[in-house]
Amino acid sequence: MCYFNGIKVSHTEYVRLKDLEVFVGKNGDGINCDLNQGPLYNQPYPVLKATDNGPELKQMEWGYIPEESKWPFLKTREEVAKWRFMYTTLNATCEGLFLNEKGKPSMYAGSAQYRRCLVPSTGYWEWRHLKQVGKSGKILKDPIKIPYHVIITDHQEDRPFYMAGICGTWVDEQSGEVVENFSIVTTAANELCAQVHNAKKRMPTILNEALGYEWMFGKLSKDDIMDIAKTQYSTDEMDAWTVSKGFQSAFNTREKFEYAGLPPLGSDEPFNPYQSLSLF
Amino acid sequence: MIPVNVEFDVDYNGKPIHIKSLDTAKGVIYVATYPGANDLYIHRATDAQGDHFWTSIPEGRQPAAERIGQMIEEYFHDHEND
Repeated sequence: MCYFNGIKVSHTEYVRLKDLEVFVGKNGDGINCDLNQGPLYNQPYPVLKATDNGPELKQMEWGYIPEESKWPFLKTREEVAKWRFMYTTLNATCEGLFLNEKGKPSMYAGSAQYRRCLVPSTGYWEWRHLKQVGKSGKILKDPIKIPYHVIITDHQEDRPFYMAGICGTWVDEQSGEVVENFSIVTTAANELCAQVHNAKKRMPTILNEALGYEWMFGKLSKDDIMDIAKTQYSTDEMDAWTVSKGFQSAFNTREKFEYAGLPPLGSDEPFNPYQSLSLF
Repeated sequence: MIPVNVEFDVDYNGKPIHIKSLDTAKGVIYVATYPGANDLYIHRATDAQGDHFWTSIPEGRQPAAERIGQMIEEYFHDHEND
């Protein structure tokens, strides 16, 4: 039995749907995929992987799974699902590619050294945390999270930019399912991204074409890898705008949405949706 | 029964999504075009239980495929006597 878009289908149907993918790939515009959806495990994303024939677009699962022979020795899908409740591997910090917080070898080390990939994107979403004013005019206990769409100004629509990624292959011992998976490398945020992702002040490692090629095909030392992984894209070449809180289910997930009472980026003022308007 | 070789608009939050069918050797694909978003290619497939479901082609946009697929079915239902 096979899965297509997370739904169980027969092998015959799977082959037919893959044939349709080939048709769309030849006749459609670009790779026809909303590249920037949220972290939904088990949903495949197109990732550029180095092969003997050059870069190839592969569908992979977002969320790194350590090889079954290494800690935490995940053997089945159920074990992976349980493990993912405790560990999030959607992103891998550049600082932790080779050594973890305890100074021991990181679970990402092998992939960082030997299995680097590029994740195409036309933009990503991040949440800005703000104190908010309640109806009574007092600051509420819980902050509000406002979603933003972040883009590279020269790379929109059909011109993706590339995020540094690391990938791996994991095999389910019970079903024999082979799962190619990846994680996006993150670095310290630039000025714009620090204002948007103000809780953690991180951003994806975004690479230009030359660095992207090096990242995938270069014979790099650990220091070289770390240097590229820490690349911080320039604020001047990026832009960000607010999107609706339900953007994940919108057909146009990038559509701008204005929030009344939202202070501009960089401001420490609280979000005040009840701000009264005065004509005087 | 879903017709082929059709072209129409469906309303999505007050804005039109243009739907166009493509009849291929392996089945009918519908292309949904919406301003500001990448075209969405969807197809009515059959799951392991024999039930139909809407899927994006290629994989990756399942929630959107299900929503637009539902809208296409509703459109055909409303216009079956046209």
